[in-house]
Amino acid sequence: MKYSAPRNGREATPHWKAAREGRLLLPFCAPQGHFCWPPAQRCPACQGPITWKESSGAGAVETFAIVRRAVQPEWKGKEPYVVALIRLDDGGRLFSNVIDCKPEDVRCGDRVTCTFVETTDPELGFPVFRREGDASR
Amino acid sequence: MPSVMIAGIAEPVHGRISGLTPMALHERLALDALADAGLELRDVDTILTLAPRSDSYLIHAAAFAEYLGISPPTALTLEGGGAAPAIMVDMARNMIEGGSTQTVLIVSADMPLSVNTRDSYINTLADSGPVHPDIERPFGPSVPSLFAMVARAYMDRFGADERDFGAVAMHDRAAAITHPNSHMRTPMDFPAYCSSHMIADPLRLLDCSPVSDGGAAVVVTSAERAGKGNGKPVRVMGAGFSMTHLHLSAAPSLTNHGAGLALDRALAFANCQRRDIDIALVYDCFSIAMLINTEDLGFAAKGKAGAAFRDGEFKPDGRIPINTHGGLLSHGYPGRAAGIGNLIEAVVQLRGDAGRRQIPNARMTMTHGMGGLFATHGVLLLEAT
Repeated sequence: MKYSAPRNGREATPHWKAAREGRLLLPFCAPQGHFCWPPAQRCPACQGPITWKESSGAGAVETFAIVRRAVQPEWKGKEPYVVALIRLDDGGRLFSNVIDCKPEDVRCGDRVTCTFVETTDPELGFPVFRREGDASR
Repeated sequence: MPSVMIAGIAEPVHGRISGLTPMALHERLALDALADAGLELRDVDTILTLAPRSDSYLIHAAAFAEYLGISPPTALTLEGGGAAPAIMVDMARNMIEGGSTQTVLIVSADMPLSVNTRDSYINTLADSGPVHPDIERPFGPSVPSLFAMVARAYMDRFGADERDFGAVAMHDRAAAITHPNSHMRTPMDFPAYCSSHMIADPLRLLDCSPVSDGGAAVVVTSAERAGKGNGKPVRVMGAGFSMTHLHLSAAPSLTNHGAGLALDRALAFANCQRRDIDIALVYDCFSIAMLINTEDLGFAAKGKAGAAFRDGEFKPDGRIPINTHGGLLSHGYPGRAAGIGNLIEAVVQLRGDAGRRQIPNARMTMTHGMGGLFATHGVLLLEAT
C-alpha cells in the first residue's frame, strides 16, 4: 500500500522529501531548540527561525491506539493496525504508525526505530516505526 | 449593567428525525424557542447558527433567515466546535449588554444520521474533523482512535482501566433513561458495556457517542424582554474560554487539558466560586473526555474521576451532579450541534422543569463545551431567577 500523499509545497515538505530519501529530518527553532510540529514559518513558542536537523530515528511509543474500523479508503481492510505518537530520543514527537507488529503486544514505552514508506507523490515519503525485536514483514 | 437572560429554549427528541429537512428542523426549533420566550420572529435582530454538516451554505445563518422570511441586521454562522454554545451565548450577552442588539436567536442543529448516513458522517469527521490533513490523516486515524490514544496515555499514567470508562458510560445511560429527548435509553450494565465491541482499543462502541439527529434553539434577550412566555428566564452570569492547540500532534499534554482554565476564567468574570456550582454539564463525546474534563474542571483529583463515578459522587444525589440528561454519550451527539444539549439541560434544571431528573434547589449551573482533541474549551455559568 502506498500512503496518501500530503499536500506538497507545505511547510513540512523538507521532512517528507527527506523521508523519501530515507532520512528523518525534523524542524526545531534555531535559538532554543523547540520542536516545531506541525512546522510553521517561525517557531510558535519563541518566534525564532526554524532549522532542520537529522534525527537518529530512535525513540519510544508515547501512546497508541489499535484501529479496528478504518475510515480512510486506503486503510479499509488493513485493520487492526496501530496509530501512535512516537517520542524521539533526540527531540520531537511524531504521529505515525507502528508497523510489522502484533497490535495487542504494543505497550507505551516500547522502544522503536524509524523506517520509511512511499506515498502517492513520488517526491514524498513518511517515517513509520518498528519496535525493536520485531522483524520486517 | 443590565441582566441578560435565556428566555426561551426548544429541543427535539434526539435520534433519527424523519420527515424534516435540516432547515425545517431549524425553523421548528426557532419557532418553539420563540414561543417559549413569548416572543415573535420579528423580535429577532440577531441570528447565530453553526454550519450543519448535513446542509451547507456560504452563510448558513443568512440562508436560514431567508428561509424564515426575516431580515435581521446580523446573521452569523460560527465555527467553534463543541465550545460553540458557550461562545454563542456569550456573544449574545456581549451584544445585548453593549446595546447593539436586543434579541438573539441561536439555533444549533444537525441531521448527520438521516440526511448523511452514520458511516458517511464518521468518514467526514476523519477527513475534516480534528485530524490534521497532512501530518495525521495519512496514517489512518479515526476520530475514536485519537481519543483512544489519549485514553491509553491516561491508563498508562494513572492505572485506569475499563471499569473507569464503563462507569462513565453507565452513569450517562442511567441519566438518559429518565429523559424523553435522549437518543440512547436502553439500560446498560457493566457486562453490557464490556460486551460492546472495540472501535479503537482501548475504546469500545459504548465509549463513543452515538451519531444523532438533533440540536436545540435558544433565545437570549434583555431582562426587560424576558419572561413573556411560559418558560422562566435564566440569567447568563458569564463565560470563560481556553485554547491550547487544535491537533493531538501539537497538544502540550495528553492527560491534562484546558477545561479548568476556562472555568477559572468564567468564575472570575462572574465573581463566584466552584463551590457555588449546583450541577455540572461536562462535554463527554467519549468516556475518556468525561474523565479528563471532570478532573481538569476540578470536580475530581487527577486520575480519580473513574473511582468517583463508580462511587456515585456525580449522581443526582451525589456530591455534584454531572450530566443529569445523559451527556453526549447517551442524550445524543447531533454532529456540529453537539454540546448544545448540555446548555438546554442547564436551563431546564434552573427553571425547575426537569421532572424526575430535577436536582432540588439548583441555583447555578456550569455548562462546559469542548472543541477538537481537548483543544478549545468554553464554560458558561447560568443562574436561576
